[in-house]
Amino acid sequence: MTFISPQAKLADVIHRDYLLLSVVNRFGIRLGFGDKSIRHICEEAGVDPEFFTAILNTFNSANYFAEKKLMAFPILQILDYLRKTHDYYRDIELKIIDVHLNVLIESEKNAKELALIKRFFEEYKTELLLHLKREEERTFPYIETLVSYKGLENGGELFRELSKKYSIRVFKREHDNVDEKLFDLKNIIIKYLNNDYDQSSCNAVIFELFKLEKDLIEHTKLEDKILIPMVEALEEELKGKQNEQK
Amino acid sequence: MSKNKSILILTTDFLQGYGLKQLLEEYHYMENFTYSINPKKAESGFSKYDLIFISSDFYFSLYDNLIPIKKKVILLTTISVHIPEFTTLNINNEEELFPENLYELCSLKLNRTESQQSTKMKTELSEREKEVLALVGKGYMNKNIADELNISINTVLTHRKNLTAKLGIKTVSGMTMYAILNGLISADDIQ
Repeated sequence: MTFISPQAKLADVIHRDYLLLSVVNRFGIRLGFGDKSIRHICEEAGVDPEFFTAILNTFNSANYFAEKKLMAFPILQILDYLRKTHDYYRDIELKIIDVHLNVLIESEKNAKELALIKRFFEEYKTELLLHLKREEERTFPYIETLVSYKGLENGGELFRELSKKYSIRVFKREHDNVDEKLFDLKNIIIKYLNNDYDQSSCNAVIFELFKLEKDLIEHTKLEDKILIPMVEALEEELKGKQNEQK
Repeated sequence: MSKNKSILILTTDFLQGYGLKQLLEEYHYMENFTYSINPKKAESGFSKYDLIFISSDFYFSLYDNLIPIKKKVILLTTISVHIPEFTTLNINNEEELFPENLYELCSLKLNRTESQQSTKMKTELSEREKEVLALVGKGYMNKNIADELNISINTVLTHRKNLTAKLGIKTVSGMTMYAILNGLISADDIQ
């Protein structure tokens, strides 16, 4: 796991840590990096190179410093990245797993076991999509509203009203582990599968499950360790403002 | 899947501690351990760690604290030396041999403490555990499982915890799948 700086050539970074590719794509940056540095590519794509590198470094879990670094960015920038990650799960990763699963199932039509696995995954997909939706419909708009209140004169007043309906504490409480079920599915396929299924289709499914799981863990880490503390601080600030105005 | 072990590393410089942590993390046997490097109030909390690495700089100042838990201690030295009270590891050893020596030592220390604890869990499920698993798979709640099998809810919870530990499966869906795959219930039994 290497530490990345904006001067590094993106091609070199991917050569070393190819799993970062899906993260890079999320920023709207596509393959064909040439010999360009991250800074150069980001400037061309209208992406903040410091933020981009901080996210890549967190994904690599290179060190703990990235935490402090990320908290220095505006909340809305982080929220934007989280939304893009949701889009990636919904539009790309979950679909790929579906494709591979279908290939696997086609390889042995009468396998009850495989139907089971597919069903398990369908259930999981529903759960995950619901989780994402809840965040996009409740939590993220709440945070955006808080940010808008910050600049307002009567921000404290408005916050007081809003806090009666929702706070980040509710999110914390309801924030369930979406990667647990995935781990179980992975584990079952690796340890307990009983028949001679098409090996490479099986492996393809597992590789994607690993990728999704890793991504989800990082995503949850971002929400728990960066987003929530930032929002809590913002709530405190608005609460303070509210007291000032009394 | 045993409880997560935790390792304490007390060295005078961050670099040495971090390097050691990196090496240990690469060792398959110690994959899911948690590591603390130079935490501020180490003296008070030694008992919660399963293995403690100490650089020789701390030897004299912490000697009294370490003696009671010496089985868990590995002293990092810069020369090959034998100390009766503590296991030592020479950090100036040849580069090629060092990781292996380190890992061997860790295995030794950790296995020793583990065998002193209660008997290791086998991965085979007991009859009772299979019964509980089947009912979990069928969608029964803990209370209903307890009633069905004539045992207390606490016993049910213990069985479930053991199932998770033995199979490595946490969720109900996962348990259901396992139960079906192993013929404990049929696919038509589940809700």
